[in-house]
Amino acid sequence: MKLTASKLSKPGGRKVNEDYADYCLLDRFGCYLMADGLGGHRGGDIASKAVVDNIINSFKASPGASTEILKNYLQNAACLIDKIRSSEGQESSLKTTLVAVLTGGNVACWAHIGDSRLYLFRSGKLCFQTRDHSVPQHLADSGSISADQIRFHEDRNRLTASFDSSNFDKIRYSDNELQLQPGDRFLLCSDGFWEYVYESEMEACLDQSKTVDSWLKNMENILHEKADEGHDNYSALAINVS
Amino acid sequence: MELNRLCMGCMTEKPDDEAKCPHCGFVEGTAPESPLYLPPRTVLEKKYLVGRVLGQGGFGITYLAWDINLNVKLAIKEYFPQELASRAAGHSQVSAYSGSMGSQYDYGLDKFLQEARTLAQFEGHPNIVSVRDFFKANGTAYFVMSYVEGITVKEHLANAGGVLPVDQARGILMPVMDALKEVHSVNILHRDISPDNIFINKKGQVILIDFGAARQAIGEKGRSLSIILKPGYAPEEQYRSKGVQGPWTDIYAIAATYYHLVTGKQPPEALERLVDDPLEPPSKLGAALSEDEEKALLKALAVRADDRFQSIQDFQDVLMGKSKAGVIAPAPAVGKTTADNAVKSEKKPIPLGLIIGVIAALVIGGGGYGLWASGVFGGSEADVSADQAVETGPVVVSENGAAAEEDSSPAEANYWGNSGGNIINGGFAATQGEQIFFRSNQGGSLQKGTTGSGETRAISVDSAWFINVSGDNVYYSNRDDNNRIYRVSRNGSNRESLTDNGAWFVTLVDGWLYYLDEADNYRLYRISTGGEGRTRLSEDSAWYICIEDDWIYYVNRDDGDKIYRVSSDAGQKEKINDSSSCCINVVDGWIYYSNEDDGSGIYKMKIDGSENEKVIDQPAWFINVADGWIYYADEDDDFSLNKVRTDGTGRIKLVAEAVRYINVLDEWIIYMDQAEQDTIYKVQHDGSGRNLLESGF
Repeated sequence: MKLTASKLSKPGGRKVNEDYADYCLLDRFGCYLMADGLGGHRGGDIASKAVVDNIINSFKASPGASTEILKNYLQNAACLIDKIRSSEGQESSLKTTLVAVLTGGNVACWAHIGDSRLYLFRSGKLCFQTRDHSVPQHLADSGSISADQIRFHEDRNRLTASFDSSNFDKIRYSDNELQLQPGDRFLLCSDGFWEYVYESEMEACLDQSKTVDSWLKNMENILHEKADEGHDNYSALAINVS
Repeated sequence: MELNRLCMGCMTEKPDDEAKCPHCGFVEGTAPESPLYLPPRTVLEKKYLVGRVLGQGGFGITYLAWDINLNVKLAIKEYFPQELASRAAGHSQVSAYSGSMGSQYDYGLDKFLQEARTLAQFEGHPNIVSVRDFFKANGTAYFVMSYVEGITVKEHLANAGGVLPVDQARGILMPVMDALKEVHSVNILHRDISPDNIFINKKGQVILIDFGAARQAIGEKGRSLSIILKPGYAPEEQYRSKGVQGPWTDIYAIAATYYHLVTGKQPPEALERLVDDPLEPPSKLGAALSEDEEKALLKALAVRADDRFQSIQDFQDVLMGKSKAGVIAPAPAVGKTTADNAVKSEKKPIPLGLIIGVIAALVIGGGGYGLWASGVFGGSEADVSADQAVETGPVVVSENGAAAEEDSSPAEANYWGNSGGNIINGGFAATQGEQIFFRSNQGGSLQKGTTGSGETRAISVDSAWFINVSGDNVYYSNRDDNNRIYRVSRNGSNRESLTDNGAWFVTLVDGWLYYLDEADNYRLYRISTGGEGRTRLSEDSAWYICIEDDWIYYVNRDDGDKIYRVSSDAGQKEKINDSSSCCINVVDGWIYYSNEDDGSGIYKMKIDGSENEKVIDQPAWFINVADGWIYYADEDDDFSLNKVRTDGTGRIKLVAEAVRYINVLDEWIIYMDQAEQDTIYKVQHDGSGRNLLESGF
């Protein structure tokens, strides 16, 4: 298996980019992360970068690709967030979402919290996506609204969980380690990205793109066509398996 | 008491030369734990000495404090939403961040003060924390509470090993429910009940602290819900911005607290319960509840608001064995939980600019005419029927809906429902003998007070305006139901709507309701107080209504806002003047108006248009003529409230703040304060005694 990745993270129509995405490839392992810092003043951007950097460091120190290992990385990062918070007296600030993917050989595992998403495309078709920790996701799960209505729901921005130790048990992990297949494509993205780029468009762009770079570029073009002035930060990280 | 010997850690006196307090161990000069906290020994309002921090949440900081004059220990809560504002270390001033965060900050600040005012009404209540004072300072606001020595129920639960016997849990929560009933009766919700917001003092009294209005307000736009609600205790409607909150919201939280106390387990988060509810019955977890009690508890904890008890009393009745859980009042037919229903029931904001279209040309301070600040029940009063309001309030309603309270003696139908001057000012209050019926600051709900009494009570939760009273009934436009005219008896029973269309400037005279029909381009209609004989009286699109001697005076919008009159049988119509006119009042054969063709100065003329003359030059708005005086807002003086005699003499300023909609009663002038988001106040005729309208008369 050969894995290639590409990322983009931009402020959109905002002054500060509170999103942060990064990845690291070491030997046969890969670690891919996307975090979206939540609101508040000088909290969001600190939180997303601190969490991503910390996990990359944990990964570098001891690379691996299993749910247990991922949990360990995340635990370290959650401790870090708690520490920063207490040292700055910022009890409620410093919040972030997180999507994390680890790959090793032909397996992968993931974790996520908040409304940043992980998509898996297999044979050119969407075959899996994470479920947001958000109010409309719950409403969709209970049948009060349809899944299509999540994007436009007035409470789309209301998250029911974000990354820290008090929410640690809300983090969702992949059930089993995922067996990778050639042609698999992962997309990790923030809500500022999936808000404008629909799943059908992700598929269509995939169809037209040979590389992860061009896939991201094509999707970004769609985002620009739709986004209003002042739109949210957006980030996406794509992984190709060949 | 020597202040310099007072320990900032516990507010007790310590020996002169010791830095470390022998009572609590606090060391004088210790820097605050966070640079965001006010440094110990800060003095607020020249009388409150601030000590250590007792607690901090996402939106406020609570300090131990000392009242320098009264020598008592206090707790002072400071509005401080961390995500929206900051403070430089060692300074007192709080600065909100710029842009949208600044406006969120202001919005929350307003709610914070509103909550303080509301809580102040309950001063002295044994189970509600006493708010002794509130004030703005340092760019933020504070409220001063009595200091409660004791522990939270959460701590008590931990000390008891994590679970309480049912009797003890009930003993703690019954007084909380009693307190909630009273709070609900004035349309306030707590919104944040949980074991750490209930205190037990040293005498064993249970005290409800920390109402959640401001928290909820600042969280409305934020992305992270965890600072605004407590998972496990907050019902699902609090997760949704359009969720309809009401007494059932607090009922869920109190039931969740009860569940936690008797089972030792916090209930699962409400949203998790939407699908495959994982909530286990308390008996399965070992709680010794009777079958009925368990049923009641689970009903109160129902995921969907409709399935819960709708009033605290109903819940208590079952818990105390007075009633059976299964036979409690059925939930109302209107859904409160689905997103769709919530959207439908959302209150349509009607800027008052529409109400007084002629005035709408005038922009006051860029603020517009947003009269209808959303009520304390959120944008949702529409879903609370009057019957429910009565059930939660102090009025006792017997089974057939007839009220068993005072007011049962028939009153004579009075000729006038309200004065014309009040009606053109929104009709926020009407009197009948000693009784005053008014639009409150609680979501506009209709309330009643008695002259010489501090007590007021809710009659209907409808957002009411153009209030008229005659005989046993009160008539009003219901803003929660498209401004249709409603009639409700003076004790809150028998509420029903009389018109299909929205009605403006509703004026009751001699058994008829005159109004402008919103659906028929504001043409003049009348309908009997029994809801019959609806007739159109004029083809003109009109504004204002003033009635005298069987003539209805109005401004004709189809003819450049000139004043016209039509006879009450629609037989005759006459044009009276040739000036563009506004705020017309007709009193004793004279018409008073603001003349837009002459800088909006006040004019008067005979009802036939003769003897037209200027009374004062000042551009005047919200004119109300009563007892030989003209009350008005002076545009040249930032809309201060003034009065002048009808002959133009004796001009005097009564209220310096910018006002709008001036209603005049025998002893009170009632107005909206523009600077305070249209809070309704009353003052006496000499400008003294300013207080919130619902503070009693």
